[in-house]
Amino acid sequence: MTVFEAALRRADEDPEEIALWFYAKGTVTAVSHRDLIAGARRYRAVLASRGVKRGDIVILLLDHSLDQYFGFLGAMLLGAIPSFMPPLTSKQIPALYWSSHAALFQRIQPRVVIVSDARAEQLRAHIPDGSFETLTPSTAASAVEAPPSGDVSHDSDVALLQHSSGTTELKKGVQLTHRAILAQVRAYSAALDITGADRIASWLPLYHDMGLIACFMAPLVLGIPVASLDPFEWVVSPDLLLRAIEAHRCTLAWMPNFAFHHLVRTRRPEARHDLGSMRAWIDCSEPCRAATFDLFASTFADCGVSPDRLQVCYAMAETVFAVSQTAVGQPCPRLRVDGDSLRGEGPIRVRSSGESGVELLSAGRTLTGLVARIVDEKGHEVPDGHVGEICVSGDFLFSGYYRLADQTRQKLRDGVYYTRDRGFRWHGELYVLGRVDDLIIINGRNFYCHEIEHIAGSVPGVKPGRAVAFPVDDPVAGTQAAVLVAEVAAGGARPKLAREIKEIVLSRCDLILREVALVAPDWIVKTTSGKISRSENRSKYLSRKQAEAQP
Amino acid sequence: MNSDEILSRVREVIAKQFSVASGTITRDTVAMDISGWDSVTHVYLLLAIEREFGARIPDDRVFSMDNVGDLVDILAEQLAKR
Repeated sequence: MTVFEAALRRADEDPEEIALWFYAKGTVTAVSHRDLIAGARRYRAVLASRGVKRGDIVILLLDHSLDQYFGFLGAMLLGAIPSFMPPLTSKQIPALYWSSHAALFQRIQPRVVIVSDARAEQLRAHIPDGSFETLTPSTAASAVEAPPSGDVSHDSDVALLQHSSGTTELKKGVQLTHRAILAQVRAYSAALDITGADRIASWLPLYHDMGLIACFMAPLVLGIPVASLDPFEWVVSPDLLLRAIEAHRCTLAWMPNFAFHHLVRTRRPEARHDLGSMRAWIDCSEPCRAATFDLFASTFADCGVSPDRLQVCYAMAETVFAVSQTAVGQPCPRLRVDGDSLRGEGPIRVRSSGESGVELLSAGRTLTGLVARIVDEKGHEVPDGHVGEICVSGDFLFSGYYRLADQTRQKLRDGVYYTRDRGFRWHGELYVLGRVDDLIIINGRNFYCHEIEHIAGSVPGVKPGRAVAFPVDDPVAGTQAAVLVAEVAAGGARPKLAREIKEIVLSRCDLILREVALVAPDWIVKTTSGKISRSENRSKYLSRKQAEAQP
Repeated sequence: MNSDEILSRVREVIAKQFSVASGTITRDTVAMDISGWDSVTHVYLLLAIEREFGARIPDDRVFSMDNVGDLVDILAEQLAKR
C-alpha cells in the first residue's frame, strides 16, 4: 500500500469528514477529504500535462496555502517525488536566495518547481537556464480534475524527500519510501494511543519533518483532522494556536522547545482559553528542557494544562519521524544527574532531588519496530547509564540521501543510522543530550557551524578562513542561538560589515545570527595543530561578553 | 506626540530590550544591526512598545517594517487614530 492509497481508503469511508481547518488571514476554511483529494487530482492533471512521471522530483516553494497540500499530493499521485522547501522571506536577499537554489537544483534536477504567482517571474529571472518547468497555483486552479486512476507507485518507491535545514545548496534530501512512512505512522500512532477522536493543532511549516510527518502525512493516513496555521501568523499571534485548539477541541500538538516559551512570553494576562481537550503537548526537534515544562504548566494551569499533558518526542527525518516517545497521560520522567558525569567516560552519576545537578527530561521509550543502541567511539554498545552516540535501525529508516552517495555511506552503514546525537539509556528510557558534531539546533531547525563559517569567510572584508561560529545557550528563549566571530582584514572593518554578514547568512541558510562579533586579526584561537577550536573561541567570546557586562 | 518624541521613546525600549546603547539607534537602524533582534524577539519588542505607548500594532504590519523609522511611522499612525 502507498501513502495515497491509505489516505483514499480513509476518505472513502467518509468523504465529507474534515481533513483540515485551514487558517489564513483571519479566515478558517474547512476542507473535507473529498476536497483534498479533488485538489490533488487537479494538480495531478496539470503535472501530468507538463510531462511529470514516476520518480521525477517536484519542488514546492510555496507560502502557507492549500496549494501546498494539493500540489504535494498531486505529485505523489503521479508517483513523482515531492519536496517542500522554505519560500523566500521578505528579509532575505532574492539574488542570494535564488543562486543558492540554482546550485541545489543543479544537483537534484527537479522536473517541476511549484512556486507562488508572485515569485514565479523572479525564479525564472534568477535561474534562467534551469531545466525544470515552473507551475503556479493560478495555472493549477484552471486545470480540470484528472479522473481517478490506479496508483502507479509501489510501496518500496520513494514517496517524498525531506530536505534538511542549513545552507540551501548543501541540503540533504532524505528519501522516504511509502512503506517506511506507513510503518512509522503505525508505530507512532500506537505509541500515542491515537484514535479517530484525536485532532491536531499545528503552526509548523511543512518543510520541517514535524510539520510534514506529524501534522500532514500521519493525520492523512489516519483520517484525523488538523487545524493548520500559518507559521508567520503564529509567530506574530501565538494565541492563534490556543484559539484553534479551543475552537476544534484539539488533542495533540507538536512544537520545538522555543515555542513553549513563545506562548508563555506572549500570553496577555486577560487571555483565557479552555485547553483541557489537549491530551499531549509534544516537545520535539530540539533539546527539551525541564524548566520549560515547569514554566508552561504553571503559566497555563488556569487553562487546563497540567504536567501530565507535557510530553517529549525524539525524532529525525532519517527515521521518517519519531524514534522515541514518552507515555501520554503521565508526567514525563525526569532524572537529576551530575553535569560533569555527562561529559566523562564513566557512568552518569544520579543525584537526588535536593542535590545540585542537571535536570534531564526523558525522551521516552523507543518505538516498536525500531532499535536504538548507544555506542562508544568504536561502535561497541555501552551499558545503561553510559553516554554514547545514539544509532538506530529497524522498520522505518530512510533509504539514503538523494544523489549524495558518499554522505549516505557515512551515516547509514549496514542498515544502521548513526545519528551523531549523544545520549544514554536509563531504566528503559532514552535521554538525549546534544551533538557529537558541530550542529546547532535553533528553534527546532538544524545548522552546521562549518557551513556558517564558510559563508561568512567568503564575505569581502573578513580575513579568509578566520571566522568561527558556535552556539550559545538562551534559557529565556528556551533554545540555542548562533554567534559568529570574524577577524576583519587589514584596514579595519567596513561600515555595515556585520549587518552584511548577517544578511548573507540569512539569505543562504535562513538563519538569523544572534551576533556577529568583528575582531582584530589574531583574536581567534587555534589549536597547536592549527585548527580553529570552536569551544575555546566560545569560552573566549563569553568571557569577553561577561567583562563588557561589568560596570 | 511628534515623531521625534516617539523615536526617542522607541529607542529607549529597543535599548532596554536588546541591552544596547540608545545613542547607536537611529531611524535607519535595522534589526540586523542589533544583536539578538530576530523574528521571534521582534514580537517581544513590539509587545514592549505596545505597553510603553498603550497602542496596538496591527498583526499585518508586524513584519512590514524595514527599519526603526518604519516602526516609528506605524506607531505614529496608530497613536493618531486614538
